[in-house]
Amino acid sequence: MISSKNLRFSYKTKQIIKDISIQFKKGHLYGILGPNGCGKTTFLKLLSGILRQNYGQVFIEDINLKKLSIREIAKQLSLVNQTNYVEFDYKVSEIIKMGRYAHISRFSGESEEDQKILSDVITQLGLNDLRDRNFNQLSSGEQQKVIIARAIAQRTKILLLDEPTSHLDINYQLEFMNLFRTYVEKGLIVIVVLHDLNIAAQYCDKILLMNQGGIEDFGEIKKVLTKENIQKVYGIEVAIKKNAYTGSIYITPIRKYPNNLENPNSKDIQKKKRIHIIAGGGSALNILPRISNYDISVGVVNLLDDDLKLAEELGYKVITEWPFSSISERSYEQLKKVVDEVDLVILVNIPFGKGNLRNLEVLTTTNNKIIIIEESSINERDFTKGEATSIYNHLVLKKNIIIIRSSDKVIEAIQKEIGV
Amino acid sequence: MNEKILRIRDKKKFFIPILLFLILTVFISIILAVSIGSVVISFNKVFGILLNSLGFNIDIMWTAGEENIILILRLPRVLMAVTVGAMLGIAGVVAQGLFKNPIVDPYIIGISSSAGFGTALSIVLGISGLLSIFTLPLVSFIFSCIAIFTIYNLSKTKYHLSMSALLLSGIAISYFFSAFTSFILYFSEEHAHFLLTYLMGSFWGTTWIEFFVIFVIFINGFVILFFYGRDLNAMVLGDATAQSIGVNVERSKKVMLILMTLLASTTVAFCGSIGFVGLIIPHIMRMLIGSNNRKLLVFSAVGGALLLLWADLVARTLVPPLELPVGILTSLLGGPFFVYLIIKKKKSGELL
Repeated sequence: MISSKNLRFSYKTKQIIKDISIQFKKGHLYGILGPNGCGKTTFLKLLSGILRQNYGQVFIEDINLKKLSIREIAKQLSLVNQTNYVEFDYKVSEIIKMGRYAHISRFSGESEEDQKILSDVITQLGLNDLRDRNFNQLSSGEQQKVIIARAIAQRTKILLLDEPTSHLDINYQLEFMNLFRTYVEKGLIVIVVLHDLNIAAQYCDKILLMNQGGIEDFGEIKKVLTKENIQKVYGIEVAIKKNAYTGSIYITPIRKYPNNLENPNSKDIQKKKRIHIIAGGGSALNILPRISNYDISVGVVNLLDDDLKLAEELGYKVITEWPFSSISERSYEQLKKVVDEVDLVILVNIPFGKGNLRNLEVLTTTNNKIIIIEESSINERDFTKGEATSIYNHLVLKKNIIIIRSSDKVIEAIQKEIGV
Repeated sequence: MNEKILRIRDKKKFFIPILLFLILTVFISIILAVSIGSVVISFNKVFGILLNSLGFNIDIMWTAGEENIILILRLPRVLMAVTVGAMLGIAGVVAQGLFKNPIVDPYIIGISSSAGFGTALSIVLGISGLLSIFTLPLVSFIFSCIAIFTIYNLSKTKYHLSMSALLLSGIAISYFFSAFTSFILYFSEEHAHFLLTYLMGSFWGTTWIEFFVIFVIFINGFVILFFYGRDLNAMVLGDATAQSIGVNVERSKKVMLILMTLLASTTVAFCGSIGFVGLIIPHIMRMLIGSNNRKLLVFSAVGGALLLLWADLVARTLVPPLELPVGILTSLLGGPFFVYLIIKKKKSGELL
């Protein structure tokens, strides 16, 4: 276990770490997330004794880090830093061997045990072919692998890594995260600073979300990586859904709030103009992602509909109906209410059948502004033997109707009617 | 790529043979160097004189004058060149390792220019004979220490010793002292020639006692630095990483900085500033055996010894009866050789 108690650190007058008390336990993979400059790297350096705190303590098990020498600390925890530039030409095996420094006296060579550990680590990480190569001639992925091998050769119970997967290709990212998992299963504590929320969600057991030098939240993935937390810390709006392949959550960024990072003004968000979209059958797929800066609702659509899936991913409100069923009384009432409440209604170029005719009918009941996207004639889309055409032709005569011929012009039309 | 892999493997394989070969070359060169001079003494006699002085019972077939030339004039001088070369070589390794910069030498932080100023000052003030032959070395050493102490304190922060600040302030103080030395040179015509010769470095008139002083410092510095060599290796990963693998970076920096200063400043104190050895020898040796600083220290000691021995030999035999300052020769030979290495590197595509 490694823990900190009331940890504070300031550089000159700027306070970088504000009172962090936390415990990291054996056999867990911890991810540290947070925006640039929130103190992740500093926190890791304090945990590893590279920097000394102004106030508070760090403990490894029950031992205060201050009571350990640099060499004793190196036997307890290893650290992979962000930058790994090596000025001179070193062989890969020489770099990895440096991981054993704390275990070998400067007056003696490495023992048989050291040699065994080194060859084990090299084999485990698949570096056998690279061991005699010049470190500086490797790709950055290979270099990072060597640096991680160096840390593992230290044979410590605690492994701290500062953005080990940054600017690496996805294959290396996954390979490294899998590697950390295997060490966690062996009983190590692995703490990784990450910048990719989804990698963190997929591999970590627990997340420490940092903000402005303090703990914003700490715990299970689903508890920490919420829309609200991410919005508060990163100032972005995200959709959170389930990754069907891994079962972990999957976070899709939607947009960045134009206001400053620290305080995304939630009142502004509530003041967003409301638009209801009448869609279905995938007819709104090209429109939905482009209007996320409004408060959007979609419906009535059937479950399993493509428009519905996208709307849910984008975090829009939806009115749904069972697959292959007509719009029920309950859904219709809901729809009617929404259509009256919103600032604007948009009718997408959808075909009408008996099942969704009420989506058209509802528009005759409101005096709200309605944009109708008419990319093809209603006759071609009418599968109700003229019933839809009759309602439609009646509808387009009303004063509150704006008709546009192409969905490309929809943003323009919306802005003209209700502003940005 | 394959060729490169093979080459690194070769480096490992031939490590011991190369070292033995170089050491053997040093010994042969010493014998050669003491036999050559204004009076050429045959190898047989040189061997005889050397073995006899080591206590072996050899039939005497040489004159007392020849024995004096070998034992009093040439041998201490040659051994001094060998030792100073070795010292500059390892000081260069430490400087390049500490500053993580392959183009620095131990003089860059003002060690030689401050010592030069100290010497110039004591000569014009007429106190150069105060403590017999040790006056100038002592004054030079004190001035080097003043320079290093100043830049050390300028570069020390609450948490660490900033190597970039050390480098910058060292260069600044180096220029500062050089300016004073030029000032003295400009205004003291009668000492100008002696001063210039001293500043450019020479082994002229080396005595056994001077050699022993230098040798003791060399052995101590070399042994301690050898054991710190792996700290220097670790520091190449960056200070934070080096500390995380168990190296007391701040202490190591101080120890190595002090030893580097001691090695470089004593050579300047006794023999003047001999340029280029501290820069070029670590470079050549790195190409030969790689960057591992422990090996590099050993090889640079041998390489530096060899270079300076030959440079001195050429300096005192090229234009008899005149003697060139050896510093001129090292730079004269070193410059083009360095350019040759760069061109070679460029051709093989290793130049970044």
